[in-house]
Amino acid sequence: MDLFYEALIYQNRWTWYLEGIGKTLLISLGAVAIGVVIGVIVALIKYVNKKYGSFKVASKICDIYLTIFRGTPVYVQLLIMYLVVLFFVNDIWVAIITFGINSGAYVAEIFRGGLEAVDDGQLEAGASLGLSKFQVMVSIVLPQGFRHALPSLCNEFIALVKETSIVGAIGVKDITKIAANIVTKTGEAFVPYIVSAIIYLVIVIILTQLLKLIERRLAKSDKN
Amino acid sequence: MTKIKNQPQTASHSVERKDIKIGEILIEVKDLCKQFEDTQVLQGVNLQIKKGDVVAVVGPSGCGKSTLLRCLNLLEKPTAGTITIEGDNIFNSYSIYEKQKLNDINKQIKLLKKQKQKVSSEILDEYVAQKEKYLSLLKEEKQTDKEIAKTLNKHREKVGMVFQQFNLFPHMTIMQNITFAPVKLKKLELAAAQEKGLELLKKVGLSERANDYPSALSGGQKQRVAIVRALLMNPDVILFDEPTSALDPEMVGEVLSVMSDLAKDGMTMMVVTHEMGFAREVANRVVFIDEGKIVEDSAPQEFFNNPKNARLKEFLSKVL
Repeated sequence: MDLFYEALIYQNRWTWYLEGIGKTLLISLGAVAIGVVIGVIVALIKYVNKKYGSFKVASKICDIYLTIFRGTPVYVQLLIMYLVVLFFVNDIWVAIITFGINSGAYVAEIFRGGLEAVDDGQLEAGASLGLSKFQVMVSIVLPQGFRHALPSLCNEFIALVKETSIVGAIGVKDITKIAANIVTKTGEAFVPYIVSAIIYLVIVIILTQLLKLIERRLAKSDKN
Repeated sequence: MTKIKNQPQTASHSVERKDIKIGEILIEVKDLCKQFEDTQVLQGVNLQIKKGDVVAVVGPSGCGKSTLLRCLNLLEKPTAGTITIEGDNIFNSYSIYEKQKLNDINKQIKLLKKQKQKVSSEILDEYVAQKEKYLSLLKEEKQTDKEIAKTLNKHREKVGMVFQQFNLFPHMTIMQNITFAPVKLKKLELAAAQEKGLELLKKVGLSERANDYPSALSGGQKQRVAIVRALLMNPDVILFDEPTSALDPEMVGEVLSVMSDLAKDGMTMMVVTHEMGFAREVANRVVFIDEGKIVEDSAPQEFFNNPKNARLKEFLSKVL
């Protein structure tokens, strides 16, 4: 019982976990928002480049971005951002921006896969009706590509929540960092880390259920 | 369906709809060539389609009939030739021949060099002149290409297309599928488009399905919707690319009957098909393509009963 008391009750330490959960969720949501915006833009540029041959330079730049952010560990990216590039920015914002840019690279590839799964006949049907490339992209390809990509996108978000557990490296007090701090104080690792593991698990289970709900909704309206 | 054609346009655009009378030339194709990498699919096709024509295009698979159809609204970009729709050029390019001539001279020079012979100044002059000729033509064509690109979508509005794989938009209901383009392109107001759409759906026996998604429809029903989608744009001609080839046999009839109704109403149609019955009974011209060329173009009676081309005789003996 002492272990629990020390880890959770003493000095109202359970409220520290709540703060940690808040930080973890804030970073995850912020990163998702940035990641989706970057990812969609990059995916569209690469897709349009492949289908119509436009955006040559932009597409090359996107390739470089993808190579760098998918080719290096996010931990290293976080340190570089914190200590070199964004040294003047608040640590939690560094975490949001870094994970956003990193996640954007993965979202881009997922989303591009979704777009490429859209049948070429859809583009041709749109073009044969006299619709412009832009109209075809926005109203025909994007909604379908998004549906194809949605399951993988949700998985990427779930992975992202867990990946944020390294932000303690730049001093952000997320769930993992809080647990680590309590361990330092009590000298006892079992309860704090198990508690943090359970918290992550609960978040992931809730997200997974949400994802299933969304997929079922989509399956209903679109049996294809 | 004549009803719709007689109604006035709700919006006018830069590419004007010309008042073309029955029997006047709607589409003209000259010396059309299409090359996919090493294979020459179309090798100089010449064709005229007049308003009111129902042209059936038949031929062995791989003969280039679908490619020809797809070139007519530039879903496929030809390699050389001219395509004119209602008097406007939508494709006009011959620079590839100048390029070939240039390459031939280049080869000749290289061969001479290889054999360590002297390259005469005449041949070099010829090379320079040919290069200049090619580049100036290319530049000219790029300029016209740009001009054409501006109005291409307007031309495509006038040329409807029905695909083998239907290509309905799966994320839209039937009603959204057929009204999306005319509303988006401001040819019709939404309410008017829906009213006309429903009327046309009724004609093809699908008014009850207006709010269903395409996935709930059979192949034959999908193809009838696809025809309505093309019709609602009020096109001057509809191109059918093997419209019944992806259908179960018992559904072929329902689509063909919609098409023959359309033909009776005076719609200009070009139909790539394997349905010889349709070609014989509905078309007023049947075109046979073999190895990228039109080798027979005649009335169905003549075409089926008195074929002149040897390849066509062989083809007919196999399919009839």
